[in-house]
Amino acid sequence: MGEREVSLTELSRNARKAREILGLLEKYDLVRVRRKGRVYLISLNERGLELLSLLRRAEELLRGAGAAPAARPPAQLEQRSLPSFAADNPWLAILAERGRARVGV
Amino acid sequence: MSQLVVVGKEAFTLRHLKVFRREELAAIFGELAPVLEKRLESVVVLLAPLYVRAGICGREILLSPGVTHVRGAALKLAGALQVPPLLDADFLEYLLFDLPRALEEERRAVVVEDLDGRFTVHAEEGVSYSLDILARVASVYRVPVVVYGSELSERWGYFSRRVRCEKLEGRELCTVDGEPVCG
Repeated sequence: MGEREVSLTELSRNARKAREILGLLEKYDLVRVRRKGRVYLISLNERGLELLSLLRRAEELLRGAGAAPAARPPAQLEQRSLPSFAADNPWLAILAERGRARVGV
Repeated sequence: MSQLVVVGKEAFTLRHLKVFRREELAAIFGELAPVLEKRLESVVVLLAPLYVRAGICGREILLSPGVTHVRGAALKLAGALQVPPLLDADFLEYLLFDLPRALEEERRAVVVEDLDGRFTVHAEEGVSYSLDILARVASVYRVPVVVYGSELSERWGYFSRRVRCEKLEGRELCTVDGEPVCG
């Protein structure tokens, strides 16, 4: 979810699981929920964002990164919230390069 | 038709941009990525799910939006969009850039033949990444995606359905999600 607003199905495509996750997030007062028609839009509130930043910091420490991570060039792939298959996957960078050449920005 | 956004040399619908992961937006669109992300925050894609009937050993099964893995069988699927026989980066580029455009014109079931043979190098990583893109395409456009593959692709854990046929003592035995359908 990160800083984005997501729908219930983006939390999980399994409706029961999505409700369960939302229930937990609401229980700990970490999210803000608004409705757009029949769609629930969920985003982290200040408390949730603070927890996310703490978790990311903890992850860095556990990985032995120590201090704040060095700034990376914007074109480099940010793998922080990518799924596990993406770790060291060479195709992400190859596709990104193709995309950049294609879009030309 | 979803609203068009022109980025550099290409035009994308907002729906198409919803297929991209944040990290892909950042890697491909550079400093424009935060602007696109902001724009996408308020976009909710509402499409009716597309269900299609597929024939297997004389029976019919219903395919719902999501990725279906098929091994050892050929489903009878009318009017599906066949992904061209591209390899490696050409294949991935087609999935992320061209397949959503084809679905913008007409939403149809998507068929990918021989997924396991689409990568000449880094096959495992390529198969995982292509399945991840296909799952996002299936989710945003709410269409069924049928992937033909074998051991490598079968390891992926997020298929909505698994169809498998094998010959046992001269008879063909087919299962759907582990349940026998014929044989």
